[in-house]
Amino acid sequence: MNALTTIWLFIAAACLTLAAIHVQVWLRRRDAGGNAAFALLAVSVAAVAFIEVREFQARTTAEYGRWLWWYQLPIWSGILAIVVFVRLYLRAGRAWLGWTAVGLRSVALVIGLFSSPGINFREIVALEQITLFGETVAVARGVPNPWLAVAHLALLALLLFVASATQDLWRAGERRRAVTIGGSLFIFVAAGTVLAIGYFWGWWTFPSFLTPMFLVVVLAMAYELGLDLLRSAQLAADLSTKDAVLQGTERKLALAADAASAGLWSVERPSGRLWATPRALSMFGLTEDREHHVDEMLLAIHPDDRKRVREFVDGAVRMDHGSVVEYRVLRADGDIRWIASRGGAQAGEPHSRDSLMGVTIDITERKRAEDETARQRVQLEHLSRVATLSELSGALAHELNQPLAIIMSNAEAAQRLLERPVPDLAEIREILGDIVDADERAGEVIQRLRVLLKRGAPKRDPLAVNEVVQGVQQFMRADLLRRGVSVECSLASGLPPVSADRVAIEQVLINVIGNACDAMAGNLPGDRGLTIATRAEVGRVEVCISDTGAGLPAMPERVFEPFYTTKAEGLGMGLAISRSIVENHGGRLWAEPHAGRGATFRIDLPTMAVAE
Amino acid sequence: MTRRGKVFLVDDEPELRRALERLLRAEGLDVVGYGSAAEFLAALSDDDVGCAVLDVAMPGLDGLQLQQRLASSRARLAIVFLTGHGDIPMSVQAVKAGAVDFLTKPVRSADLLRAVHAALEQAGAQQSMAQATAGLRSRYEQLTPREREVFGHVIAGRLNKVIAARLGTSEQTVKVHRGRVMEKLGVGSVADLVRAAQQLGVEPAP
Repeated sequence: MNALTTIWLFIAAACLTLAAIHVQVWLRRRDAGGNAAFALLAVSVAAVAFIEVREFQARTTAEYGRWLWWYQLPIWSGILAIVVFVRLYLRAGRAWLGWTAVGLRSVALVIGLFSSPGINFREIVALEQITLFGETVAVARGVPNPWLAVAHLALLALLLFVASATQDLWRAGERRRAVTIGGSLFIFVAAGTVLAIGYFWGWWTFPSFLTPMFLVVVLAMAYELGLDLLRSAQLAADLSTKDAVLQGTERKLALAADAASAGLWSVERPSGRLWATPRALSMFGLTEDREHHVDEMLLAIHPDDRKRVREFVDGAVRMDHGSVVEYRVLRADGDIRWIASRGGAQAGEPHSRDSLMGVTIDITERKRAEDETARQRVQLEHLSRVATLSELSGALAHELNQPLAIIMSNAEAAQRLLERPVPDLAEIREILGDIVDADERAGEVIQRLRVLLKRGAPKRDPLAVNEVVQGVQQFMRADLLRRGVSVECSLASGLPPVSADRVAIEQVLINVIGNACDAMAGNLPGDRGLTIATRAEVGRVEVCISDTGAGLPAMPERVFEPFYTTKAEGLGMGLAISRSIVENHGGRLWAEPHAGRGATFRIDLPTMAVAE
Repeated sequence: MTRRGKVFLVDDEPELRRALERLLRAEGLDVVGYGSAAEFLAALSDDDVGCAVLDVAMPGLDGLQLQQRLASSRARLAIVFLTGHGDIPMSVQAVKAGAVDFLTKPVRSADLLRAVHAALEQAGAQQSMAQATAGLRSRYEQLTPREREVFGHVIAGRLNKVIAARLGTSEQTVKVHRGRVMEKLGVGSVADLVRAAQQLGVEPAP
């Protein structure tokens, strides 16, 4: 053993160690092709070093030739490794040059494998012993193989490829890499090429060894890859710090959400894995002790609402226009809670695109308050209706009395007719017909009264406004007569239907008409004219009720204030409630003073098409 | 029994009017129905006699206003009111203004017929009273001025002797005039004579 052998073997061992490290890296991260290529290069260099040592020590031409034959394999794999490394890791160089180098070297390899002692010589004539670094080294002298040109062309292509890669790196601003890897590769390939050409073509008697040059390249690559490893380690350290920060943030967020009585959650799609703060979990009767699936959450939801929530969870809603869903949750104790969830998919983050995240709040109290408000409104409307009807009671009694009077008189007339020796049956038949009609009329009044007095949930039906106006006018006929009010109707034909609660709209009309009659109470009898007109506007139907009465106060809006009244017995709720009813239908109710005397009240309701 | 008058029925409600017409006709009454006060007033003539059955609440002229118009006409009509809802002040006003009855709907036929008959009777009595007065008046007009003078003193309760002194004539002459007056007016006693004077509106002589 001497210095040269020792160095060469040391290099081989170092290369094998590096190869082992990078194979490890490649095994963990299969996409790290650069590491695999580097490992292949390192192994090739180790093999080259080992074979070169053997060549140096060869005693016979046959022994030398045998090792020279083997030499072709690591050279081929080294070139392949360099091209792959440059392409995969540096993403540089003209690909066609690289593959030309690999292709030419492969051709040379095939030719070399089938000839002895390889591609370099046709024949080794003699071994010369020269002294290098104090050691006797065998150098072959032989007849050059003309096919060697192919191998040298491969080297030339590789040289050009490396040069183009270096240029690419330089241009891309990666100057350090251009210098370390590109530069070392270029020098190595250039030096190796020159040495090989001179040696094998017999220009000089100096051994062709690639190991030291290869070593430079390996070290340069190892340096780059090592930097990558260092960066990875740094990133990993950063990540764990950030993770800790993130967890802290998450805890703070959960705390803040908790303080706002809100629960946070996210659902991973499509797996459906659920992450949620304890409060969010408890809203669905779930506990923190294990992982949950979104289906468990859905199971707690009221069956009637489940489909809606499922659509919300599956829907591709983006966070930036996050949507809200309100639903009921059935608790184990039978309690029903109202829950509102707002959420959506995160936008713009490739890793979280398939997760839905959001906030959930228990809105049971709000819902209860809303229900209570709605209930009170219905109650108030009902009370006001009852009050209105009680004001109308005299007229209504008349409306009921009239058919009763008709029935009574007809029946008694019939009795008398029947007492005659030859009763006029035709007339009696007529009488009975009139009795039936009168009875129906009474029935209608009672039916209408019952509907108005009934305390029902408001409905929305398609409603012909003219029909409602006529119905109310008929209903109030006796009252209008008693007050000496004459009504003129101008109803537009072909009005589109509105979507409304018939009873509520009747109530509004009764109130407004009643109000108009009150306003005209001071007029002389015979001078109490009321006009009811309907007309179509774009997307709306308007009812105008004009009187010739006392007009409006200085601020017309005051008449819609609760408890505003000019009557001694009035509650002052009629118009206020009427306005609330109309607005609840998406319409408007307002008053306009006339230039002369009187005022016009306008009721404006959206048509059914618009309301939908 | 005086000559039976017509029943004039005014109600804006056609069905009710028809029913009431039937009822009254079944009773054998002569009924005419009108849908409004104006229609009725247009058809009314001065020599109409009978009963007007009026609805109180009607568009246009109402029942009470119609009653006032009828009072100023020369037709002899007794009024029965029908109303939907009993309104005491209104009925007081109506009865004060001479209505025979004030009935609330629905009205029993017995009540209505009783009221109608009473009204017809009242109208008939007024009619016969008027007719009697008219006969008496034509007889009164046959009296000479002297006889009218004596008539005035007789109903003032003066004795023939006093009358003769006042008129500056003999007691016998007064007696003759007095006999003529009683003969011409068709009365048999001083009491009848006084009643006739009241009916004619003749004032006792001062």
